[in-house]
Amino acid sequence: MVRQLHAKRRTLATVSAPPLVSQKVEFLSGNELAALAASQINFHLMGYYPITPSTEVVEQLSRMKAQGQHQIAMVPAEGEHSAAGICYGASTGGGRVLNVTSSQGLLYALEQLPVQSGTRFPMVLNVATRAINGPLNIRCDHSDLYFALNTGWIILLAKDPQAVYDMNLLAVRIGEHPRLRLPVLVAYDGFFTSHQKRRVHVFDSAVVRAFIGKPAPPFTALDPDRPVTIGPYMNDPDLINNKYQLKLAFDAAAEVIPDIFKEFAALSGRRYRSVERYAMERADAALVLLNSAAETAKEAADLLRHQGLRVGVVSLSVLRPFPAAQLREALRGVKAVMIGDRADSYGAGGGNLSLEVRAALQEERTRPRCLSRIYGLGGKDFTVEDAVELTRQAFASLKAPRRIPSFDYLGATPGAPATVDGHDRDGKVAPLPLTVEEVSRHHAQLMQDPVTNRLTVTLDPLWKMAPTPHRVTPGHGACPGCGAFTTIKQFFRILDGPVIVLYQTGCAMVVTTGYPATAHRVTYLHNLFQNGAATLSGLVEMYHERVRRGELPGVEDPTFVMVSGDGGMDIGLGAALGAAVRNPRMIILEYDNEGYMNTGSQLSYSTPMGHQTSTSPTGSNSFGKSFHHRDTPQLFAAAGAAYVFTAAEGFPEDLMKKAAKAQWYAKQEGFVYGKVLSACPLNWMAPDDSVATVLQAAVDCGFFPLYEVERGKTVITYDPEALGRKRPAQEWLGLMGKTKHLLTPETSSVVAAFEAEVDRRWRRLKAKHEHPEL
Amino acid sequence: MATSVPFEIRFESIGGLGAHLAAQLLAETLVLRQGFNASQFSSYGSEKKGTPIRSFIRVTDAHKPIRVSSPVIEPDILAVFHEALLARRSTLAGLKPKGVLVINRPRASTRPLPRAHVFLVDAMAIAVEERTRINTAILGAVAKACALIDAKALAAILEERFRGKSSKLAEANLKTYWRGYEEAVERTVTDGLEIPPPDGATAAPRWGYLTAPLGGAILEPGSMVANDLSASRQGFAPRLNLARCTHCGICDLVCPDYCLVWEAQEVSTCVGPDQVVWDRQAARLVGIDYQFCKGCLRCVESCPSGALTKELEGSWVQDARVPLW
Repeated sequence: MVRQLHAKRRTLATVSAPPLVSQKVEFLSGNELAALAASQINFHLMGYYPITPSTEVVEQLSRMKAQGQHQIAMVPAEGEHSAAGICYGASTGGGRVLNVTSSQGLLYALEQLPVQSGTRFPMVLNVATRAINGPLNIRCDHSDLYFALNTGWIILLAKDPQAVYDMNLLAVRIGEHPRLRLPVLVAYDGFFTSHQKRRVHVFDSAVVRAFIGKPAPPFTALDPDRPVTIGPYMNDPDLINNKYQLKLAFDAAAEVIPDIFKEFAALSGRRYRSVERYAMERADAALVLLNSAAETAKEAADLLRHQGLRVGVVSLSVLRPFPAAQLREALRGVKAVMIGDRADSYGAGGGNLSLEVRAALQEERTRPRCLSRIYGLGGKDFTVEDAVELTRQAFASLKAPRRIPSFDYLGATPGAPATVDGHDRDGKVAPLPLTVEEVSRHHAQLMQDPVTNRLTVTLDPLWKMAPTPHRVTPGHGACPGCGAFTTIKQFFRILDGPVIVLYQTGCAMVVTTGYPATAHRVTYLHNLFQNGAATLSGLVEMYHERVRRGELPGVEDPTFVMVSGDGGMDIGLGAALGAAVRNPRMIILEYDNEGYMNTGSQLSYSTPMGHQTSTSPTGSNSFGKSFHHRDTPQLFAAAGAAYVFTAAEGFPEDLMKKAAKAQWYAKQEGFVYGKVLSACPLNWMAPDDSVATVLQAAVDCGFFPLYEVERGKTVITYDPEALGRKRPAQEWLGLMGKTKHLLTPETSSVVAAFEAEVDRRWRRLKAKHEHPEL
Repeated sequence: MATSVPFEIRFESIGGLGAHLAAQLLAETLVLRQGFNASQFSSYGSEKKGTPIRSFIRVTDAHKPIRVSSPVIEPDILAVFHEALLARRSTLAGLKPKGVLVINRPRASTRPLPRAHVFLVDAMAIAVEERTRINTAILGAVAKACALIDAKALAAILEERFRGKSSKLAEANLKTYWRGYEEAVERTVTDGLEIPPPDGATAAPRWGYLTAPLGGAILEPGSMVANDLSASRQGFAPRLNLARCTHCGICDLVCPDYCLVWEAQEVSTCVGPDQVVWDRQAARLVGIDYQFCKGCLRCVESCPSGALTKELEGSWVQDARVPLW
């Protein structure tokens, strides 16, 4: 059936190539070029979730769209799993689809990838490669990419920014080829290629459109005249045939890709080959490397050839299908092959590239000596000197094979002996570990109201609290004026007794734990962005189980607190609501700064409507974020949390009273969630020393009501209406650079919609405050 | 001094001063206006203001490929955006013997200069007067320091860049740029700090595979206290006038850097109107640890008694520092 459908269609490959066209010189980075290519392709849709270092592509495309430079529907997901799902769903609809990601984003989306290929819907996924957790690292290696090897996607490699542009155009043509119908992943090195600007050549959009043609899917999910069942339940006699079809497509890809490369060369003058050779004429040794490292190795090859050493570089432009035959050809006659991997396949004796190159060479009658090295993990630079060293080892292995290990790491360091005992602090002394007594100063006294059953709190005077040491040390690297650290200070100051914290990925996590230093004086954990609540609830359960078994004294239960930004509560909402329902004795403290500020201000679901972020820019076609901020506290209240509160760091007494209640409920009854409005002067575009005013206005205009839901009973703790302090939203919006555009007449309807939503929520809140059963 | 390609440039700065943008505009000029090939990139971290940042440019002939993507470790031109960065060894490391050093330096500064061919510019003074940022003033000085940079072409790129925002901004920035160019003072320093040799691109870290605790765990709580964040301040610092302080504790609630120093006085004696003597605890704000203060001035904003004020950064900061530890 599939073959019949294909036979009906004209193959795009037969379209005659236009002559070499003129191109424009630009100075752009890999990410900028991925975005430029996408805008010229004018994909129908992009589902995305920002992650460093690929985020810039989304930012660029958002900016271009705001200025009317393309029509791609940009759909911000709440995590990569959903982003991939959005892309999959869209791709069944017959249009062109784009996604970009990196590292954990690729891994979180991973299970969607084989579905995309197994059901045969082409799309393009750019991966700016980055190391995978843990520990968390944001820089380049190929540990993310290697997880995609078995997903049934074509994998194109872009060694430099020019290739990022070219491969994105090629990816559309290749994936949609009727013999293939496969999704295509374009991989380029995070930062090295994604962020480095180079002199490049780009086409006019008309040339791009002519080259890629129009999509011609054999069927779509959006054709009511031709109903189709996509993704059936398929058991044993059939699945193997579905996979064999996939295998056949990859066989075909090995033929189709070189043809399209040739056609592209005729158009651009840039000739890609599945296996690229450099200085391989009569080479005795070859370095086999991928992407930017291969480029660096070419410099070494030049240098060494000059010195009379016959060494060349072999790299790949296509990783799937693996070009084994061309690789054998390229390495024929070479005596030593040094294969470098930017990720290990632990326990396999080499990285994936290395294993595959070695496997490919098995078919050769005379096989070269093969060496495997892991290099450049987590962004460690691969220098010309490193390439020279790899060459040296390759030649040395020919003379003394036993002395040179077949598999090893390049660049791992044993550590200086002086640090063995762990006490060398370069002459600087760390503060002594914090004792529980030092921080437990009982700054809040709790009483239970016998009538209402509510807790009431009396606080110490502020001067009395000031000398109490913090569970976080100064020296953390947050921006000047950061509200997350004011929130953390005010909240934790009130907590008594032992505390164990988990910080979700985000600003507060990054700036307090840059290895090898930590700002935390109590035990701290970090896990995946979307999984913090599950992780901490697991630790809570372990604590109680070990107490039950008598393994821990259980005299004074620690208070378990997860600290998260509003970003962590997007991607991590599922795990957090799951925890709320199970009701473990823990607290989630969310510092809400209205966006993904750690990565340069992308929109979160807590960003209010109309606010400008790098993924909701303003422009002739955009007024800022297009949908309302999520009412997260109400979700947790509905999930039955023991105590839910909102607070703002500009209202410290209110916040600290709620901190005391949070601890009581987390120790006595169960799950607590609190959302605290916390300033981000940098991305709010407000002076550091104006945030008190901004926070006051945010609360007084009703955007951020201060209240608590105690055992299901809502109480408003600060009522701007009753105090005569209610003011229009404009007074708040005028205080921040990110919202100044909302004061113009053209955006008045946005502000009106925002105010209507804020008022609706306020009226509901007041009703709940007044009515005992709501 | 770089008089022929290839040559390499490094900017040493602090997040928020605009070094990345400056390098980008310079590289754009070299590629799009002067016909060179170049690569440009910055050190990579999360997007924090106030943390050290480096930006790099490699320049070569139009048709020569640039294949190296690691940082510039031996620059021909090195621009330092903040004088405080001179205290870090790595700032000057690797400057070529014939290289040029551009330093943003207050005219009144007495800080010793490194032994090198230097161009000094008081970019902060220019930026304050023109109501712009220091990066364009420094670009002017860099253009003067390097014969291969077409200063007029760079000015044109700057104008284009800022014209899009407002013509007033473009005018102010152009003025800043040309003032940086004109006012940069060339000097050859023969007795001063030695330029350190290049740091390897891949210097070995403190912990290694034989010594690091398994799994990346950090077993020394609170070790970040060794960090010095004073370079994060951008010209201003809070100053405490103890005579006006009521020790109310409001500033402490809003300080994100935990750098206010309090002293708890366990017992003091007060006499009430009925002559009863009772013990009471007291706590006093005794100063600020400027090692950690990033100069956000939120404490100044919050201070109800006027004891904390915004002051221009100066040598008084060192004298007024009260260490937390």
